[in-house]
Amino acid sequence: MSFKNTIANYIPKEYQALSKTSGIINFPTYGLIKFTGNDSLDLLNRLSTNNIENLQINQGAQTVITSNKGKILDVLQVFRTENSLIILTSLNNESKVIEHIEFFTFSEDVVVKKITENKFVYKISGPQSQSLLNKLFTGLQSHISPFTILEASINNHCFKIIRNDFMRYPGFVIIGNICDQKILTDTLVNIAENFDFEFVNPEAINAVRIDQGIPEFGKELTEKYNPLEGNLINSISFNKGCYVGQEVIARLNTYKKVQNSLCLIQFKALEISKAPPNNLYLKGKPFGVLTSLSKNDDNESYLGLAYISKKSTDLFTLKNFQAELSSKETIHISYIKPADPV
Amino acid sequence: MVSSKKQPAPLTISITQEAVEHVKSFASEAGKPDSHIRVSVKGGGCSGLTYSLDLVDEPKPDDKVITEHGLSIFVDKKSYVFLAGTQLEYSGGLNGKGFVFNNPNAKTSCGCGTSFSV
Repeated sequence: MSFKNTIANYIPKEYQALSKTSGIINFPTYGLIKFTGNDSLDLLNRLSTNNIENLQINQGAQTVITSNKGKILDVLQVFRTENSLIILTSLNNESKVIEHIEFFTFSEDVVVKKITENKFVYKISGPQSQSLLNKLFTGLQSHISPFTILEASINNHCFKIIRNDFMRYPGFVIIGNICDQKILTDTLVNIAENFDFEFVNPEAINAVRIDQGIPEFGKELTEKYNPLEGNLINSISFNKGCYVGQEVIARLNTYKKVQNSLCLIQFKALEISKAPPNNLYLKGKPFGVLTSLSKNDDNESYLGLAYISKKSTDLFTLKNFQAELSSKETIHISYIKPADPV
Repeated sequence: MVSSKKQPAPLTISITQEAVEHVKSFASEAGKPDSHIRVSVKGGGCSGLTYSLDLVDEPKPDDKVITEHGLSIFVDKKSYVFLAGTQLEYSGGLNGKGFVFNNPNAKTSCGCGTSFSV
């Protein structure tokens, strides 16, 4: 069966919701970890790329845990509450993150615990998402700054609200106890007539994600790549001191030895028989790897994310040229351009 | 018949006489002339793990205690796994590195020498 036929069609209504109004994601997309103890922030700071040592209560940051070879193990969003750190991991990766933290725990006062099973997580993205939150929760401030965590309630049932702009549009994460999920859903149903929002599915999210050049764990963000290749430079501190993988990442950056650039690629193809990852060739020579793919709104062309070799960055100046996939199909590339850092 | 084959030395942590003298000197300067040292490993050096040295008065309940040249070295169990066989020496002089861990378990070390991976 052709892989092309399994790629979902462009979903205008849901795509519009995520980018123009507000789209709600009501299925799991994160793993959750609660990290407590006097040394939790210090230990996590020593294990990840960003400077989170001085994170204040109700503040958060994105940071990357890397292997000692500087490769990506996961991208974490760390939020400090009064008594603990709430860590958002990639979906189904919380056990690996916990294992990594425990390997490096010696005499530190820390307790790390997976809490995914006891919680539900909804996400809201789009320019109107803050207004939607204000309709849902009582007493919530009218502007929540990026990378903030705070508490809000519906009829005395407490939820955690995080702003993290996960699709580059204003974006929020709502975390609640499983038993309170119905309260949130019922409140959404009650305001549905008077507020423009859509529940969105994974295909729409994938389309917006690729359009925005946002790398995803398991596709672009794997142990094959380092955070500089994965466009995560905004999550790296180059003056915080040592952390696992620091020497490799600092050297790659200082001596400009980063091997691949994460790019947007638009092309047309009659047939695609293999799902990404799919190697890209130009006149028989490899120049990159296609890692994610979605159909464009014209339903004829594709937009994808690809790692392009730094030796082939002259391709950024070319328009409308022919290349091949490792699955032997010819593709007609409209453009390749570097994606913005996330 | 007794085998003449030489038995491998037991894996322990050792310290040179010169390093002991420097530890005692630092302890005196810190106003704790009778203190001992805790040798441990912390997660998070650029190669993954970092050595740590602290002046302490007494061991923790589960510590391994090694005494050499009149100095007691305390090591927690988990750190001992990564440090067994290590010799702690002192590299002095203008170009010296201070305390140096010669750790046979370290596969790689970072540029500054305080961090290693196994």
